[in-house]
Amino acid sequence: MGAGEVPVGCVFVRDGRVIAKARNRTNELRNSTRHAELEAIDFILTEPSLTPQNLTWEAQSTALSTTTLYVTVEPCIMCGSALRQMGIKEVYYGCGNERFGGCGSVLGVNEDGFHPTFPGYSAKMGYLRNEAIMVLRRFYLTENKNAPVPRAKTGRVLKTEILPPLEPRKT
Amino acid sequence: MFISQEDVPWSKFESNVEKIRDDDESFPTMDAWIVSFTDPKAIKPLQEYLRGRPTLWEQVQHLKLIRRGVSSSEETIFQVVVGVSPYPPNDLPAGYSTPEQCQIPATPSLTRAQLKMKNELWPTVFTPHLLPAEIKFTEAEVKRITEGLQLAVDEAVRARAIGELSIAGCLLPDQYLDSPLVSHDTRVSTGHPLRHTVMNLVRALADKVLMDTRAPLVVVDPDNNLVIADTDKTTSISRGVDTPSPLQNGEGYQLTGRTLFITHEPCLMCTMALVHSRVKEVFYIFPMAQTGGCGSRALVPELPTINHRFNVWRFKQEKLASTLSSVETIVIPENLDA
Repeated sequence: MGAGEVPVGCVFVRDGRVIAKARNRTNELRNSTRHAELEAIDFILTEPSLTPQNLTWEAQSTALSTTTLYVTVEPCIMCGSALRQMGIKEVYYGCGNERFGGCGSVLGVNEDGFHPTFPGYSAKMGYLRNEAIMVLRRFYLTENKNAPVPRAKTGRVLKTEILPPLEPRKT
Repeated sequence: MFISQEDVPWSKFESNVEKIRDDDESFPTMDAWIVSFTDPKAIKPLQEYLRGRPTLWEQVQHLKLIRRGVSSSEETIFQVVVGVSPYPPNDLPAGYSTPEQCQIPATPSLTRAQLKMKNELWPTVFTPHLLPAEIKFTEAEVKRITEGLQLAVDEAVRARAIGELSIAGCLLPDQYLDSPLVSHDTRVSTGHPLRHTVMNLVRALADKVLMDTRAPLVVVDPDNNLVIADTDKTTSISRGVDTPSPLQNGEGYQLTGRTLFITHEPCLMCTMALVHSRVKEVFYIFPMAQTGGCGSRALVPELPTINHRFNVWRFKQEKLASTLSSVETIVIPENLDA
């Protein structure tokens, strides 16, 4: 949030150890696809101590099969699909993303049978949910001044009431 | 001189969510919270309540805000929509009854028949001008689209020749792009499972913008003076700390207003990346029945909550051979993500 980015952060854990952490860098890189998850995946794949180098892409598509992702907000459809193509073991996220969540809220990209070859993964919501929601609310209280075409958002008030999660949309 | 939808070699991919016809027997609805009262003076505070909530206000634009009914005792009853979220509003002005949930039309009426039918649930606004126009192309547009698709095919053929997967895309020149921009899949050469055509294309565009707009990088020289770095020679310097310069006028998301031509239907990751980068429309040649996000596995830009929509055009498979050359050489296994 200090960098003027939409505040989403993630941590990848393998064998009880944090192997990568990243945050959203869409504004800094002028690239709206540089979400935290994809930043961390690129780091893991290029770090020789974490991933054997010079493997084929087919071999690398199981690179995260023993790795768990913790992320503040439900991965979007893009990241949900990317995680599946990387063979992620499981995902824990703070709050759901009712606009474009890819792990159940809008589409269940992680579900068994959603892809012909890459296996599904479990995605559970609720870890530090309230904290995740409040970080986002504090951010959106002001304008996302680095995003293209900002809308006027003066006079916003920080709400602190947090409603229970919705049932996942059936896909 | 126009060419109709039947005669061009591609067709628009539309979801079945809302086929707008005069003879429609059903229409999309949404849940809403309403309050009822008999005193007309109670209307005004609610109008102010709604105007003070821009998100809600936007979501009820297709509705008449007030519904007038008559009770069994012939008394006039007013009803007002006060919420459309799954939860009842808890901040209404004092003195109103507890909101009740009911189903109301989710879209405006495009025809008189719809107006009458939807009115049974809740009155809507009448917007005949939103009726979809007949789809037709000028000869120049057909030529341009065919050219874009052929450039994508040619790039896919080149990619295949150097050992990559034969998937490629293309943007045609525009105000900010001097020449066509092509991109292909680089999963094989990079050993990275996510280096798909769309991701590569979006990154190339973003990096171009970054190079054009980045503020000069200030570094400390050997004599301890602050100097403006020669950016060609300082690529090893960490750039994590410098902040991007403010957005330039006209600079939008990477694909704002742009049309993507691509050989294979993008996967879910890439389709959502196209949403994030605000593409205007996408033409693709081969559908990917098991993995595609532009109509096959899902139609991501038409999912109800998605915050950006774009048109999807799919090539008519029976017109392939007669329209595009070398296209038969770039078929990929159908369980791959493109």
